[in-house]
Amino acid sequence: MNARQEQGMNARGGFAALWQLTRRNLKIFLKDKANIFFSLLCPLIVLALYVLFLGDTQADVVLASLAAQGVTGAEDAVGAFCDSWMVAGVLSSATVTVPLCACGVMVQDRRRGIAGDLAASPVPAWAAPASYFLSAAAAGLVLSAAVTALAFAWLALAGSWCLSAADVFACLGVTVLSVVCSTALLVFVVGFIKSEGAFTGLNVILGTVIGFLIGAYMPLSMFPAGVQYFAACIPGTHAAGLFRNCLMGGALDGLTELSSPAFAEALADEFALRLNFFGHTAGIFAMLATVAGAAVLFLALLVLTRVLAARPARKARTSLREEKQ
Amino acid sequence: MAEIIRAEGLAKAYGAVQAVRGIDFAVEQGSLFSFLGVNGAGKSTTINILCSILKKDAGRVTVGGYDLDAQPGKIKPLLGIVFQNTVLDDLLTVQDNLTVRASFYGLHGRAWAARLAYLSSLLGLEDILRRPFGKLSGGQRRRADIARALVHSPSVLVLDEPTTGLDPKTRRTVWEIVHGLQREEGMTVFLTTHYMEEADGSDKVVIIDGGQIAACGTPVQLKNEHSRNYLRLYGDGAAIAAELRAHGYAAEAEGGACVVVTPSADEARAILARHPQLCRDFEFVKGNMDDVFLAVTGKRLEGGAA
Repeated sequence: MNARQEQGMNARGGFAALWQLTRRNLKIFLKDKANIFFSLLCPLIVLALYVLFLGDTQADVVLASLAAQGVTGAEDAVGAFCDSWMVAGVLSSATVTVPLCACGVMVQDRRRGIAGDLAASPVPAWAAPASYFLSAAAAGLVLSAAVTALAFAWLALAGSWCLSAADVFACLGVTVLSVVCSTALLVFVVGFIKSEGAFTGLNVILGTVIGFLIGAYMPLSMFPAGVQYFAACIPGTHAAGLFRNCLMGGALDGLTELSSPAFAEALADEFALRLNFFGHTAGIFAMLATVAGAAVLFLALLVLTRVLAARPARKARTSLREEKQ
Repeated sequence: MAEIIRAEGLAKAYGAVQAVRGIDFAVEQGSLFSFLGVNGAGKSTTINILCSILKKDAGRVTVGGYDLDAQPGKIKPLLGIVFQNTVLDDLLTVQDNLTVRASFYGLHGRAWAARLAYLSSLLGLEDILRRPFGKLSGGQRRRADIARALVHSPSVLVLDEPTTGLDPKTRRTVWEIVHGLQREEGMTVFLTTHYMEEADGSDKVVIIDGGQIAACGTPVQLKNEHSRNYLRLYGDGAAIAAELRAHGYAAEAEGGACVVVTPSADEARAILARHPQLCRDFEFVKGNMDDVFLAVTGKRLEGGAA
């Protein structure tokens, strides 16, 4: 390396390497078609369950309650409400499962000794972990954006579009927040996984369970209180609640006009637009604070683990220097 | 010639297993230096320490005059490493793979384009640059691995068993490339291997066994010190051996022939001249690195004869 290259390296620090590594991780994820399919399996199951039987069942239950109040002809409004609920489930599960699958490159790299290549190169120690976070978040955002576009098209074609421009922007904002939060959590957790077998296990378990936990397969209110409380401890559940508020608000307003505010309130609880957190009701702001708080917490933990991992090395060097003196 | 790498008292243990036990060695600039040993002898551990991948327990290492403890950041750009198992990504093209690694060294834009063009012609990568790395043949992959090691024009090319698992033809190709780099580019080559013929072509060989240096020197020195030349006489091995023993030679029947250990070519010539009737068909065999290795470690190398 000549003096100019060295100077350039110092000036730009590891940002060029960070950019290239992030692109690399993202490309590896996007070029693996099977991985993309599996990352979207949970959202696809949500869709399939809804289309095959859950959708009609839910709509029938709501229509029956409305009929009991003497409200008829609400099929379209109820359909829109239930469709929006399903779309919220698809989007919220995608913001968890896509970053999870994108974390696979971390485990692969560990197995293949890429960490050795990085350690032997003049790359700052933070560049690789930061690139894993950025690429998993980018994968989450790219695929979630694609899923959002498809979901919106679905709503429009099914005649269930009840979103205002503000709802759309809020939905995009929640997507970003949810992706950042789940990516921080998952990169932190996957950082401890050493083998690909363990990662596959996590992938399968989380991919299966997450749809239930965040209430994407069926409304959380259908579960016992204990399960609801447990689910409420997961940031993804709160993100799912936020998605529902963005996507179902318009449809709920439509139903409020047809029935009564009290009925709408009951529906909001039933379809988890608000969460039952150990007997307390968590509204939009509580959910927003939980997701943002979890994002900050896990980002801080990520940084902390990096600092701690770098410490013994520094200590060893110091002790060696002392030995020499 | 100036020393580019020096290690003193290098030691590393994995728990209770002492992988490297306080070894000393020096590599001269522009030379081809071989670390020869069986699997688990401590070769890769030593390389990983030099390359900042593993932390050593004790000892001192300098590369290019920089101390490994004090200035690892100065040492890393001096070394280019070809790992035993590839570290390039199967799904990415060779060019994408190399571009990512070039960024580690601050190489991008036009400077990188020029370097890539140079490496492509040097290693014959033109046809494979745009192909996914995972779709390449063993030899093509190894060339791409070498290109990765050379992206930043290192002073020392470190190769950790670069030809293990390759077919003989590919092994020869890789070997020609490495030799070419040393001769034409004046690059220092630091190699670990368990192939005798690879070590035989080096300027200096260090034989490592059980984490310790068992022998060190040029292949010629090692062969002179640790191996014996012998004369193989064909015919009725047992009868020839008996007759030569009667004349006071250390002769033994071996596989249908008679083998006489001769310290020098002169002595062999003398036997041939004195006993032409016993030496109708003969072969003078120089001691090789296999013998050296066996003599200093008491072990045979797998694949040594390949």
